[in-house]
Amino acid sequence: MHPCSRRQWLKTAAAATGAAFTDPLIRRASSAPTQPVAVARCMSYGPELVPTLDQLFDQLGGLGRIVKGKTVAMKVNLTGAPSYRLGYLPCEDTHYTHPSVIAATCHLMTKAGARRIRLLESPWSTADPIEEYILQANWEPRDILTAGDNVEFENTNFLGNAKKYTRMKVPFGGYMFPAFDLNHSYNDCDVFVSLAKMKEHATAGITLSMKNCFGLTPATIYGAGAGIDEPSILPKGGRSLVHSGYRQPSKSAPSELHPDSPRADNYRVPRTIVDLVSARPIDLAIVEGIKTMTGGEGPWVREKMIGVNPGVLVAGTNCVNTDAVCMSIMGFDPMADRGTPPFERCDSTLKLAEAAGLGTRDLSKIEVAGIPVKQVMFDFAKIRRERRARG
Amino acid sequence: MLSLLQATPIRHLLVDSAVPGLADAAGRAGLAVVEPQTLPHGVTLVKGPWPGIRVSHAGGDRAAAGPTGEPWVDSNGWRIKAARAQHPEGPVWVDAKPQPSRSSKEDYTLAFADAAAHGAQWIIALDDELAAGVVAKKPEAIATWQRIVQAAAFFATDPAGYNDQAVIGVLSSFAGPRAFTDEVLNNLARTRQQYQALACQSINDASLAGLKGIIYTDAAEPPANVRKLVLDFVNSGGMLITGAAWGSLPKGEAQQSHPRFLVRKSGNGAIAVGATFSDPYRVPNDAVVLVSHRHDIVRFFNSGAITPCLARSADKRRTTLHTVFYSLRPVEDTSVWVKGSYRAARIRTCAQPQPQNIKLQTRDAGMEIHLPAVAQYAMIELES
Repeated sequence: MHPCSRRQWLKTAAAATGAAFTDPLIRRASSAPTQPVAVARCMSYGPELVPTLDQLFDQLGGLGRIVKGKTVAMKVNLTGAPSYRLGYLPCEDTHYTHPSVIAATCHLMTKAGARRIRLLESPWSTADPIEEYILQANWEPRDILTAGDNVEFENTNFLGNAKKYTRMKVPFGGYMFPAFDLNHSYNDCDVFVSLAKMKEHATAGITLSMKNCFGLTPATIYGAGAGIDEPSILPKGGRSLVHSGYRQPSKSAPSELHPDSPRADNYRVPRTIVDLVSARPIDLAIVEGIKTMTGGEGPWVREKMIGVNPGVLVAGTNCVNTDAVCMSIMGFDPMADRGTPPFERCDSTLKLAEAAGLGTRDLSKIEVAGIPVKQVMFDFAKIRRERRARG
Repeated sequence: MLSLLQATPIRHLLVDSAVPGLADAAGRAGLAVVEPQTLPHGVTLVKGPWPGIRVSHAGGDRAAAGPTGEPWVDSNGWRIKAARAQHPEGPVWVDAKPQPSRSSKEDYTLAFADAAAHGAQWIIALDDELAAGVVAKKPEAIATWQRIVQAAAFFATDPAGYNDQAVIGVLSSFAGPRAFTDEVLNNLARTRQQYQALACQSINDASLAGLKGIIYTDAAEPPANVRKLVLDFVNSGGMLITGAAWGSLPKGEAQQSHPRFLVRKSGNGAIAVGATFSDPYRVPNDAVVLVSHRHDIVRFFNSGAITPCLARSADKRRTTLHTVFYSLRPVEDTSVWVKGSYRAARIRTCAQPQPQNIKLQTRDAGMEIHLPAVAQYAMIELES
């Protein structure tokens, strides 16, 4: 027999609903938007890649409706120095967005009518051109630059080609920051795309289309060597400032909302990510999991990591929905909260994003186009359990 | 004690001042005694620090970091290259005395490797404790000495007649104040780009072969013959990186394509002139980007603190890549990419002196090699 009567349940539910609607974040979560997410099987970076991506975008209603006649800014993931590999594996087979996926996406965007495509990243501790950075990973920049029309790179780890940084406000007010001072490229575009790699993450549990945007922040303001009053001229080091909160960004940029909040990366990083993707909304989220790695976001993580070949591509126009589907493909529950894999020691970026009204993480509300999740599932969660059980 | 030197590759005894009877005894043992002021003809002596990862002044065993956050490596490579540029005909000997805090047998191997990789020979010098132990014939000290002798034999077999391969040259008269030139060389070595020193007095067409860029570091205009040679190099596709001291520039509009340099086209190449050309850290780092990593001839992955030196035989059929690994522990999972096409590769290390075949994989315009765990030094021999 049920422990409470129907009348009692209705009373409890009404009270809970009322309480929820008194909290604006929970109110936003309950109405968080949902958009279809497309999933495709793609085992290699060979000839199957372009048609598979093309079909993936068709399943979202076609790339043309998103990029035609537009300037597209696309954030890729080139985390860590290009000379740092997982074993003998090239960076693109483990932790960098693969150059073939970048080139194929540029090609399809041009075909769909994109006016201009700007490839953005804030690479490790340098203001050198991205072309010079990727050459050191044994990539050929021309393969990407000639894959579409008007394709260019910009290093967003510093002021870059602009005269000043662009201030981008967090519409819901922000968990950590009310606004960010970013390289102009994140504002000077009609469409913003996050082209991420499917990975676990040592601090944030997972890194998908939202976590990829942590790299929007220029190290000249948010990095270890950031200027105190004004941004430094050149970036130096990583974003330890945001991770640990040992100091504020350069005074020229908005400072933290709650300087008395925990100085812990597992609290700060997920919240900062949500602030960033709210300030710079993602119009198209693409997550590449053709080849990747388990155990973390790069070879520096202190886990037993391996290169893997899940053979999956995921895309969606809502980043929270897209990341939720990706989590499911990885064998994790997107509804997981702190304390549950992959968020054993951190807050869930997805839960925080949902609460901020950016999108739902509830799979029952997300339409999945293309191949069903079960057919492309690659069980990162199981590998994680087994790895940790071994110690 | 001279018996310790018998049947070793050691041929000279360098003494601070003459010791009565030593020369005769050494002569009987097949050794020549020399003093710093009477070095064998043609030998250039380079004085430098004990090579290795610099230990923090704060104490303990923490490595000191450089401006990039990477460990700060003391290497005599750039000093050797500068000496060889000025004295191209004779051998270079390196006088680097051991630091008592860094005197393991691995440190001694590093001293040999740091000199040999750059084309010089280290003058064996023992720290006081080891020297006393050897004199007292303590087993541990004798074992270390034998390791040193083995290393001397290993590095003595380095084949001569190879030419350094480089992407960037640093051009100077090496006369007058040299602090800027020296620091540019020092910091250029830390970028891992292949480089060489060029002396105005001996520069010729052959010494520019293969280079893609030249940094001119002197504070005065170059001699007319040097200017012509460098401008010919630029017009045929090279890049000159310099400051206002270079003097007159070709006509034509300069472009601000780099935040700290105005770049002017000249023939098939370009001249990049720095608005301020005085930062010996930024100049070499900017030069590497101005010239472009597109022209890299060696790229390392997962190597830790290293200096790689590529050299090629005169007939271009054999190439050697000497690499010094400054970590005292073995480095694992290291890959190296070398531009060009090769049909075979072999590796020699101090632990494995006999050449071992190693697999080559074609990667873009070069070949990639996955190294086994390696400590202090590796020489990869590539056959075209």
